[in-house]
Amino acid sequence: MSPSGRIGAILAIAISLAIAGVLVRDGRVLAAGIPFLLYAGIALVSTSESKKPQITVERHLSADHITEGETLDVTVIITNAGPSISWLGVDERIPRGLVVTSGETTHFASLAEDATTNFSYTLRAQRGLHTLPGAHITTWQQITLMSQQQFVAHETQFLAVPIAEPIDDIEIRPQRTRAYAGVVRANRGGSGIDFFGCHAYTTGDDIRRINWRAYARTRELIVNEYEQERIADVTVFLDARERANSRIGSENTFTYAVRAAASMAKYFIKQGNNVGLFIYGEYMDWTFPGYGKDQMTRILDSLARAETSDKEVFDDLRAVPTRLFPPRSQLVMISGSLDEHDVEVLGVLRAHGYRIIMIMPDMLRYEASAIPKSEARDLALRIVTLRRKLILNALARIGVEVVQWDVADSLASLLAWTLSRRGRRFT
Amino acid sequence: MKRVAFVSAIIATGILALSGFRAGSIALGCTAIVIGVVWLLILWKSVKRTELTILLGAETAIAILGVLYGASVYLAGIAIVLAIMSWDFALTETAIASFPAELTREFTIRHVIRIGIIAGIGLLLLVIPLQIHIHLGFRTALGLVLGAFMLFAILLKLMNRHNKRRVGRHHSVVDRLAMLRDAMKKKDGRP
Repeated sequence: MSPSGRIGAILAIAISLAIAGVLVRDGRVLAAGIPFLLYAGIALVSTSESKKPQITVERHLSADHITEGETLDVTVIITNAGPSISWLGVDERIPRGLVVTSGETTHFASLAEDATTNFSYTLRAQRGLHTLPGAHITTWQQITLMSQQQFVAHETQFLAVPIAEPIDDIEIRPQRTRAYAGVVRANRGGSGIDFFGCHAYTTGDDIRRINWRAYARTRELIVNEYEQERIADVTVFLDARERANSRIGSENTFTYAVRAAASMAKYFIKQGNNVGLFIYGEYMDWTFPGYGKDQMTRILDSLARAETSDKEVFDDLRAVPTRLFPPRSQLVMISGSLDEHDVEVLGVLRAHGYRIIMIMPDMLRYEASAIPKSEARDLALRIVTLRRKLILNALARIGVEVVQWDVADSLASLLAWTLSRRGRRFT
Repeated sequence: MKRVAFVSAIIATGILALSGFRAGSIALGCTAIVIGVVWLLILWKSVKRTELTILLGAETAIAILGVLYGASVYLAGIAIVLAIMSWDFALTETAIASFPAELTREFTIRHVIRIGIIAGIGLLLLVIPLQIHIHLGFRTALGLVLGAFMLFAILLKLMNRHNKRRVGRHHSVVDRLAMLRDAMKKKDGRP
């Protein structure tokens, strides 16, 4: 109940008693209103405007970027720029997605003029851009019976970026590579490690590369060629359409898709490649391709903000602006589920010379275990599995490399087998 | 504070019920008990406790009816003061409920003392007019009451106007400084 409401109620009772006293012409009834009048009078005088507290809130965070699941220390500093406050209560309302792991989000103290008080707490954050909005302040002045409540706005934002799992040994073979040396095999002879071919010796060739065995056989100078290794353009494509992601309770394939995107981007940037990020859902969020740690930070920032959306305009992949992707480069697409129209678009991309790796987080096993066993469930499971198989077969036919990822397993170990040289040879 | 609110409410209810029964009205006594029980239930269960304001009015009405039926006005006064105390403690307890108990302990003690003093003064002010008998005509008494109300209202208005003028003056100075700064930035003299 607000202070004005409380004073109003007390005054109403006092006035009612006064009217009743006058009506029944009884001084005792009038006198009964005196305690109410006294209470209301003291409350009114003490909550007058001149004593309104002038409080500022400042917040210090131990970091403005953390990885999801990590903790963050928050220190709240309250400064009183107005007259001294007998008692001050501060209540920090913690938004969704944040959990207090230690400390208190409330504080209660007295605060002199121009004095400060502070308190700290620790938060654990889910992925996303988090905003701490401000503090609810309750004050009691020296003789006041009433508290004054106000909300002091002071927005503090921080990002909880997704976990990027360390991945090793993935091989990509885009049709086009860049001019700089890297680790992606360029399908072109030159200096490198892996044997690529031979050609007749010409002036300028390194004599250390002459194949003396071939010379012994043919009496002609033949030089060994090695496959060049260069950097490549890689675009990580995150499908953020609502329908491409399944949700069961608090679990969502999108969370895993974002982590997979972060892991892949980190891996390719670490290899020195030119990596861009494209998020397709709420809008087309395009992180221009780049190299190095700064690019990784930009990508993680975008991924931290990524949310699923069910916008009609982005219902299928036809709206994807393929011009953004460097021609004949490598696309790493992460999507929970696709349909026939999406496969068609991917076919067009393949025809334009793009190499596509498709990572599909799969929650089917998890979903099935959450639903009670019944005939209907089994039938539905069969239909979904068959439909998924059809899509996967269609993707395989157009030359998309598909990695079906059961989110209960580690992505790194799965990729290490499926997309490594050894794994590819085996499959 | 909750404990003090409980005790105050129980004593107030007891006094009102006893006064009612002694005045010969069983209905009044029983109503006082029912209101008291509801009051205690709200104190125990409710979170916001805004319903207590209505019950405070009801308890006051019971006290006044008891007085009109012949119960002691002093007992009714004590009951009213205790009801106000209980009401205040309940609402203050709601306001500080979200803060750690160890930090609010000192505040609670001071608040209870403060309310106790105000209740004492209130009771004293209730008793004094009943002890001093000045015979006034109805019109004079009505005029005095209305005059007191008007004086109080004028005082409050003057206080508010004084504060608003202070705040307004500060705002206008700040606004003019901001306009001047903008004009200097634009360099064309226009605000």
